[in-house]
Amino acid sequence: MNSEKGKNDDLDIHIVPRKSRNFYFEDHEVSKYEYKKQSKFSTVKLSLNRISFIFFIFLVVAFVFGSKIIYLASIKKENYFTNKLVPPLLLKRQDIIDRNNNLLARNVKLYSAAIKPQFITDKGKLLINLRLIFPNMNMDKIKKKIEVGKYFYIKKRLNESEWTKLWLLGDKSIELNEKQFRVYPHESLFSHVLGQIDDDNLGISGLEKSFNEKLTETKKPLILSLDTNLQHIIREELIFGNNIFQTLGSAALLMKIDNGEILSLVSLPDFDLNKRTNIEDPIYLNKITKGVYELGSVFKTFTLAAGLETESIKANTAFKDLKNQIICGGMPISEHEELPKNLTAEEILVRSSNIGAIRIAQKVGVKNYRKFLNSLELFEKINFELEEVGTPLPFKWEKCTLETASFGHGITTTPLQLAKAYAIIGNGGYEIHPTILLNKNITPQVKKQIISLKTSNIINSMLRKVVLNKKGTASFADKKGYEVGGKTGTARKVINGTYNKEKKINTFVSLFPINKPKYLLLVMLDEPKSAPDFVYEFSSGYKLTGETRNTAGWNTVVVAGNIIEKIGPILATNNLQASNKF
Amino acid sequence: MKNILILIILISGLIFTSLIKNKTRSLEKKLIYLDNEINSLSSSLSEASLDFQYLTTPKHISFLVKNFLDENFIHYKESQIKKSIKSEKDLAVLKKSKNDHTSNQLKIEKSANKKSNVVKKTDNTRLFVAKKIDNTQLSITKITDDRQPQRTNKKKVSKKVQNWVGLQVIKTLLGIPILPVK
Repeated sequence: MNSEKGKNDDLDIHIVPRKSRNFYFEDHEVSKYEYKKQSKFSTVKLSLNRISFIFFIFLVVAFVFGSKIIYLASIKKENYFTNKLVPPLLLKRQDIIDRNNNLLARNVKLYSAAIKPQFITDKGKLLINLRLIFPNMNMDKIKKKIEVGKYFYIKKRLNESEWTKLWLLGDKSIELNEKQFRVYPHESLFSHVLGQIDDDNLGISGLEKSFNEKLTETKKPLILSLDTNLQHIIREELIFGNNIFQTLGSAALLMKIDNGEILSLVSLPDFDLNKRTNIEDPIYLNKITKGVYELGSVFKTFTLAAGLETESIKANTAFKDLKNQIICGGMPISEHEELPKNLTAEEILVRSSNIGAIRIAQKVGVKNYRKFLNSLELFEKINFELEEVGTPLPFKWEKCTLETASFGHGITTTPLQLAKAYAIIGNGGYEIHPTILLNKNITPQVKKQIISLKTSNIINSMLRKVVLNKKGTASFADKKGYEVGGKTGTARKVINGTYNKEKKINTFVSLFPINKPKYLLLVMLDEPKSAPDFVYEFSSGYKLTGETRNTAGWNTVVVAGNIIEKIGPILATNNLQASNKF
Repeated sequence: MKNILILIILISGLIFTSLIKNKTRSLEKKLIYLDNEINSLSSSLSEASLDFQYLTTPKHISFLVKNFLDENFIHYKESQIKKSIKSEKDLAVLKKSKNDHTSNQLKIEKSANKKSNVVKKTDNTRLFVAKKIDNTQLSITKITDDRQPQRTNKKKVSKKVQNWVGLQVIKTLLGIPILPVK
């Protein structure tokens, strides 16, 4: 027993007592023992395998995750957060800039707040909140709109604080929409040139309308020939003139006469482009391009030019026995003041003699005079970049048309066309086309000669005398260093079919420096009044006050002189190096 | 051998494909990131330039000048300003005169320096002499101060004697006894 016990010790000590207890079931016990022996070893083996397997799995997972973490830690910052896309700045309209890259118009993304009345839960609370955010808003209007029950905007172009306050309300009836709006940093400075757009970013006036396609379809900004600084100075001087001479409005145009580039175009009154203003009132029309006026004596220059061009007269051709008044077609035509009876052609222009101009025109003849005016394209609609372009009133060459046209009455044109004609006369006689777009290679290679260089030079010297001569009508424009030449025009306005004595359009067209004209400045005052309190200062230093005359020489020329004096240093007409920038 | 080669090519192809794919993915991520960066920068640039444009409008600047600048900017007429640009001849003359002026100035400065040196020396000697005079004066005054009280006493005594003698003479003339008698 003991030996058996000893034998079985290696295997299992528990089996022996069982075997001794029951002999008959020995086999059974044995089998049981065998089974037990087998099962015990296999169980241990299996569990070890499982543990090692699971451990292996965990190790692999840990390795994978660990390596990923190491990888994430090692990669650069920029490779994170790439899922969130920042949308590109896609503007519906391109910028408009001036010749010096100053921004004139740009689209920006702004928020608008709208109300969806069907989602309002507490109307009173909403109105109180709106009152707190917008203290100046008319709440009665909002209340009425809510009652109507239709979707409506409470405010467009929200600022950041307003947007935040509305967003923090968390009211589902308030909708904050991101929209593109046009911003004009210069407010009203370029209002007549740039024009306006509607809510859908479509141009409705000015350049915004005429260049709508270019602004919406290309990716380049629209570059204008305008100069912001010059525009500002001219506008300020016009405002000053408006205050002094109590005008209804005024306008000015500064143009390069060699290529027709417009450096400044101002028409007053103007309006802030950032505020949608109702501009249906005719005083808001662009006086330079859209306004069609009888411009008076400024046409005498064309009469003289026609006479010289057709060789009907010379500068020193004497006209004797000039009457102070003549009757033409039953209508009296008289001089603006008492003038000598004998005048040369040059003196007729310098002293602005109406009767003298008639005599010159009569010498030229209707056919030649008409042909000459047509060559300057004064009576056709001008081809210009803006939508707002006026068409001169049609007229027939009848009995007295030549006589009245010779001194600028009975014929109409736009100041832009007048400027173009003067530019042709001043630049040596070749054709130019006024433009508002910057194009450095705009000067025509093959110049189309309209008038001869000789005529151009003679007229320029005559225009200088209008300013320089004591008897001339534009002595206030004689600014030292700028050599200004020009011609004044005082025209009565036609009110209800008759010429009104009090209401006038006073114009002054100047060219400078006159020895080789480079710039043209046209200034026009609409219904100016005499300014007896204003102190007029002559170039000699003599001062005069109490003047009651209301002709262009006593108001428009003063304004033009001030403008030339202020823009002169910028244009630097005496400094070739600086002036070449323009 | 052939199979091994195909297997190697296949495996290397697989490896390369996965590598290229991963590289492309990371490049795409970089591109997206850069696009985002460009977009955000361009929008902030647009806003900043708009701010700048508004702040530098002539209207805004003239408003700032009117309200916040102390200096009164006055518009000067051309006639009020001396011509800054001169012809070349004038400039040459100006240069020459400027050079002459500077050389003259140097000479004057030199002579002025010499003069100042001489003046300094004379001043020093003057000071020295003045000091000496002062010292001697001081010593003289000391000596005289020491002697002065004796002299005054003597003077006082002689005056008393004179007065007494005079008084006695008057007394004798008037018949009053010279010596006081009680």
